[in-house]
Amino acid sequence: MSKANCKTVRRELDELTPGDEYRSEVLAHLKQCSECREFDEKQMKLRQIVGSLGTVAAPPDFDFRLRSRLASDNTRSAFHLGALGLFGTRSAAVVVGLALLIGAVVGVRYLTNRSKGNQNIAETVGKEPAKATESPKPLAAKTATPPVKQEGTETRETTVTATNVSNRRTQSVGTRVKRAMATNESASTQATVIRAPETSVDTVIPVDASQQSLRVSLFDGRGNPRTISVPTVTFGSQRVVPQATSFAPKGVW
Amino acid sequence: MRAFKQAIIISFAIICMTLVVCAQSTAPRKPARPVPGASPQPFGERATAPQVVTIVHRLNGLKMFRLLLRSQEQVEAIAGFDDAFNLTDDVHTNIIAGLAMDDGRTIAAWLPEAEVEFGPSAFSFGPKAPSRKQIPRSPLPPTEETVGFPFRGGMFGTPDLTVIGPDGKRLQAEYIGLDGATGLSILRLADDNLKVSSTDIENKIDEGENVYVLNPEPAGTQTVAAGSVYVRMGKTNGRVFSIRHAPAGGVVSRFKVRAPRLTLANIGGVAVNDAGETVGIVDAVEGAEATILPTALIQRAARRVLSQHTSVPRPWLGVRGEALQRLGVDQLRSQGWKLDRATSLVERQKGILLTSIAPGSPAALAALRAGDVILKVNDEDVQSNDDFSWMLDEAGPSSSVTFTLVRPDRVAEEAVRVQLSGLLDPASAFHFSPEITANPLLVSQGIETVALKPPVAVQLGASNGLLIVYVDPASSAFDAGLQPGDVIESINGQPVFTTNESPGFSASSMQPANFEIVRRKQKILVKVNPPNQKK
Repeated sequence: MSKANCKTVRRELDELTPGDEYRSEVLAHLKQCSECREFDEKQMKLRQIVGSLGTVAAPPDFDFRLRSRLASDNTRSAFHLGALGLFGTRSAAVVVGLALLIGAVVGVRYLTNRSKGNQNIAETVGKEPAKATESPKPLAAKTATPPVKQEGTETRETTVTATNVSNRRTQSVGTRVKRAMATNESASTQATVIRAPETSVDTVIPVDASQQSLRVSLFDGRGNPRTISVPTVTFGSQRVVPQATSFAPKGVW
Repeated sequence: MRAFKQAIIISFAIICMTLVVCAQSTAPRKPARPVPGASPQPFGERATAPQVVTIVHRLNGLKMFRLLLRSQEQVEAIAGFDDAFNLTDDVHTNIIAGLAMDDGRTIAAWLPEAEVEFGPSAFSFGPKAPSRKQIPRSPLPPTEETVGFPFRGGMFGTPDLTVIGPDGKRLQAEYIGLDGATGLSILRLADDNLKVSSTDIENKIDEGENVYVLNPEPAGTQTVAAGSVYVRMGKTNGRVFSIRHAPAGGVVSRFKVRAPRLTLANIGGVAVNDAGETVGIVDAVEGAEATILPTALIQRAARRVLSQHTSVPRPWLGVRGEALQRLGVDQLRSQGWKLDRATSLVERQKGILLTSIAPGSPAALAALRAGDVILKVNDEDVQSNDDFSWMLDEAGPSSSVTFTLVRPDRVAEEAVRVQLSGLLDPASAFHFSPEITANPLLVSQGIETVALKPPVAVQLGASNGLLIVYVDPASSAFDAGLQPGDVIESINGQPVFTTNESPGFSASSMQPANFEIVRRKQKILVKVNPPNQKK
């Protein structure tokens, strides 16, 4: 087995998802190559560890309710102070308690993260904003945004590398899909690096958009040739091609 | 070291719990009371609102061809596309805001390409596929609102829609239908797992109020790689400067927000107030002004669609026109009005001048003519275009309304009764050109096609033919097994090359038609029964 084959096989192993079938070439290679077998075992263990981690879901409006409560309690405290000349001890206690609670949570998370140190375990995207690490060098090591896992729903995964951008729609657990051994040729093309916003505190959601674009040549109603290109992604209610139809048009009934 | 950390954590947790318990026990809980002038955390300082979701609508190659066929491009034939192009793979993704209603399951959104999920009959006043079968997805019996007008709500397949909650969770959703009066699409989540704040703030919009428009936008300065995009909820801050009320009842029908950073991409955005409560969805943007459809009307639209469990068309009269408020004397005179009467009408500032009538429409059947001025609907004065739309929407499709109108050639006012119809897009009656965009005979069979030039046909394994982009689920062709993506090479042995011809095929034929088609480069013979001999 050449090193080139090992590299290709490991890339494919890296991209396999639960339920995917090993291709016969990969199986044959694994029988012969102990290093790749070891790599495969490590990958499987890693997936098992990550898969066994439970997620703690906060209500979607937790932030909204917490801030509203804090703002409301602050206002009430100020009223007591002005009207009675006394400080609202209950309000203060609640605020201090909540602040300490938040501090405790942050502290625990900080210490927990630190204790994990350099363990190279994939970061789970979901509750936290997805952050794709910006690579300062064109040939830097692999940077990954792990998949958002949802039971019972189709999940999407984006893998971003400095030299290779590979995107695919993850199949539901239980389906078996044959996959090409190599994804993209990376020798000659430098991939676009996706940068997460530098200062954003909002939830950033990875969305896998269309992988092929539509560029079509056609003849219009007068027989004139035309070429139309359609953008792969649009935001908002702008129409991708000028439409003859319109929703709720003005001046037409 | 580890024991030290654990000790710190445990101590901290004990202090926190003690403080919280003390706070709860030392004072009885007081009911929250409003503080005049005080508002909770201003929305501008928050990340997002829990009721605003992101909707991802994906279109494959076949749907894009449908869109092109119904566009202003007037497609005669496809001449070429990339060798690697796959008709059934995604080619376009639209990302837009959605509003989760109070029940935590219903989503309203202004999907710009929603029409691609429907057959041509839903949007155009053209030839219709005859059928005795009702809309297959509707669990409800047909009502007078789904029968009697040229709208049919058939959808082929399931729209590729993903709803993403504010926390990034992907949620399963079903597309229920389109509301013709507002243009909103209504979706329903599989579970009510969206916890939303109240949206019931009807008529509580005030001029000068702060409003935030929320739209998904590309995150930061990232570049969009092929197949990948990072999205976050963007905010545009504006202020309400104009509020319009419905002609009767005082309900807010629209209001306007001025914001310097508005763009066309804000259309469809969800508008919230300082408290984070929904106030509407952006209906239109002109310059730095956005017109907002208020929450109360969104709720009505959702109720209309959910009660029918399918799309609900807009009441269709079949006219173009303009309110006299926006017209001058010259424009009336160009429609045949004499100077004195035109001046009098313009000074009254009431009524809608009809500028054109769609052939075969309810207006044409009631003998309305261009130049007529509709002064009243059911004895209620009409002052603006919005008034007129509101009155027709209130009447509903397939209802009867009485117009009081004046005509250039008659002095007296006339009362004309009109039986309304329904269309998702009333404008289609003015520009539908079936002779160019589609084969009328095939459309009458529920089949929408686009012609292929030989090089493209060869790419798909055929020598020539028509590419099927839509098959009406209620048609004989659907029952026979014709599918989008099939290429019709010939009908009854006669080759077909353009959408203008269907040799060997007649809509009035009582005999089954033999379609020679190519599917995944395999030739197949499909026998399609006449429409009146459905299985």
